[in-house]
Amino acid sequence: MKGQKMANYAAVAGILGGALAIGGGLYARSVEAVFGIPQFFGIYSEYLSGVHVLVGIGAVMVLGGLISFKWPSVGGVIVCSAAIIGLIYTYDRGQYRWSPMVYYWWGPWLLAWIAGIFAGYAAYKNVPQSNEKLADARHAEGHSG
Amino acid sequence: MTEMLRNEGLKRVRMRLITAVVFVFTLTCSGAFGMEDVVSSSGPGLTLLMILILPFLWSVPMAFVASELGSMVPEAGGLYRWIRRGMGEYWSFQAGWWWTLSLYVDSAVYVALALDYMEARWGFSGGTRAIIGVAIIAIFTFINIRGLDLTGWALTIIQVGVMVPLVIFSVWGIIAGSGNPFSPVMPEGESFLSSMQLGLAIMMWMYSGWESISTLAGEIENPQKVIPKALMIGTPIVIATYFFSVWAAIRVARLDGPDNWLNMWTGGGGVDFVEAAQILGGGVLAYLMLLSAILSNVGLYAGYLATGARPQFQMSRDRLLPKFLGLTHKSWGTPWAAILLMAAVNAVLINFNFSALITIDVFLLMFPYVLIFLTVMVLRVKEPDAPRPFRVPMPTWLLGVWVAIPIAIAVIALFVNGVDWMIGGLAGILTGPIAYLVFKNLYKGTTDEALEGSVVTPQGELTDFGAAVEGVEA
Repeated sequence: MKGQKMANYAAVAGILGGALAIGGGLYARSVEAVFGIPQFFGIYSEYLSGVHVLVGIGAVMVLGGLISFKWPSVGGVIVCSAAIIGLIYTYDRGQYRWSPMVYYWWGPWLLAWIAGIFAGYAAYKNVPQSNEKLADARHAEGHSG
Repeated sequence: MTEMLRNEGLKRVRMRLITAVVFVFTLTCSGAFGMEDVVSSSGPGLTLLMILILPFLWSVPMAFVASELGSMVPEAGGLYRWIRRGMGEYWSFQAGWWWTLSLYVDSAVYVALALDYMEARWGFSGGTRAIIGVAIIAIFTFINIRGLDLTGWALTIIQVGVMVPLVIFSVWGIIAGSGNPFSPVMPEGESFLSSMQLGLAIMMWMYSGWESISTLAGEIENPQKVIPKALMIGTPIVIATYFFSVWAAIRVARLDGPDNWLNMWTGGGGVDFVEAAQILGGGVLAYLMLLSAILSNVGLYAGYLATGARPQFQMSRDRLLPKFLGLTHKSWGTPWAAILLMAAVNAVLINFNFSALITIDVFLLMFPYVLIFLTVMVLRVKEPDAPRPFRVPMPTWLLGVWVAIPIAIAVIALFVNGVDWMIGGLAGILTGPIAYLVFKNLYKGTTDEALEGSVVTPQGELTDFGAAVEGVEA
């Protein structure tokens, strides 16, 4: 695979991002950080506390990172999607959990973005571009408009 | 030497310089509605100073850079193709994606703002609001699909309607208003930084859009010459429009008390341009100003529907988005599918309270802007001798210093404009890599050699369809 080096970087970044989120969650638990009511989009559960979400999303990011070694596109999508969900979680029905959570999500977000960039470069190298001129292809298909 | 193809199916129109200037004015200014909030946030003096100074740090560099890149790579999709040439497929997709995503929301905001002005005056029901909104979108979707010549005429008529009341107000207000418009410089008790921070986001927003007209380059004859000229002419017009109308508004607000500038805001209850016109000239001028505000937002919608649709069209032609977005109208030569999709999303969005989404779009725009500034430097180094009918008149190192300023402003703005702005933007940024990974695997992309595009000759002319030029790398 031509883009294996990039895939490796993507995997490492994803794993580090996930580890950072998990570590942040465990640290937040130890210092009893206050993240507000444990709910997400109106669903209430103790598993939706800030600590649980950090650890849970972090685990998904680590999984995405591991998958990136073999399938960087799939892994990159998982890592970035997980980070998006984590960011959305910081909204809390108009009350932002952002301030207390910023220290915990900043690193994972940045590493998820880096993982996405490397996964993108891996995809660029692995997926062969079409060399057929589009006009020729469109004529061959019998339509031009 | 590389052979390139013009975008098949697109029709180039002969756009007069005045029409191109109207396009630029619409996309970057379209009146001064929204500046009221800066006055009460940052203070009258600082607002006027920012209007005069910020362009040279923020929008003039973009206007010059857009002129150079637009003359060098005058292709449909504009900034998307510049960045592809300078930084490759991945980053161009990111820029095109973020820019398009931002404009999907942004263009719907303009319709919503026009409806807000109407509703405040005429007070109609939610159903009527939706019908009027969809009607506005439908009319300008048709005009856009019909072609840039008709869109240009529509924007010209709209901007006459915007500017006539605003010019009357500005002249009258400066003469008949009261007080020194520069005093106080800042709100009492605020520091310079905190005052500037409050108004910076709005001001940056008001001075954005210089890159937008470049996306239309595939449908304009001689875009490499017309667009840079229009940008150079449009820049001082925009600065003057903001400066004199805000100057007048501050003096008019003070007719109701020396501290009445503190009540200058939009969104009801404050002294906005319509209320200021009421204070100055009574009902008739206020009515004209209301029409100006409505037309301003409608014009912005029409303009951004046109420019917002083109990068996704070109990305589709480059096999990085679904194929249907690359369809062109057989008779009118416009990317009708991309325009129609954007309009359909707008029609849905105007029916919801999407204030959270609005916060994302400014943040998302900052990243393509940074990439544009980096691209001009990369291309100066990588392709120093490539034909540039317009070249920023400074050596590369000095250009680097100059563009470092707006890059720094963009980066600072990411952190100082509020948490909701930031968090929404951070999530939006991550959609870029996801979209690339999905669409790249689905559609593969196109090699540089097979791209549809244009080649600029050393004489500054565009080649004919499929022609190759000796000594010019595309």
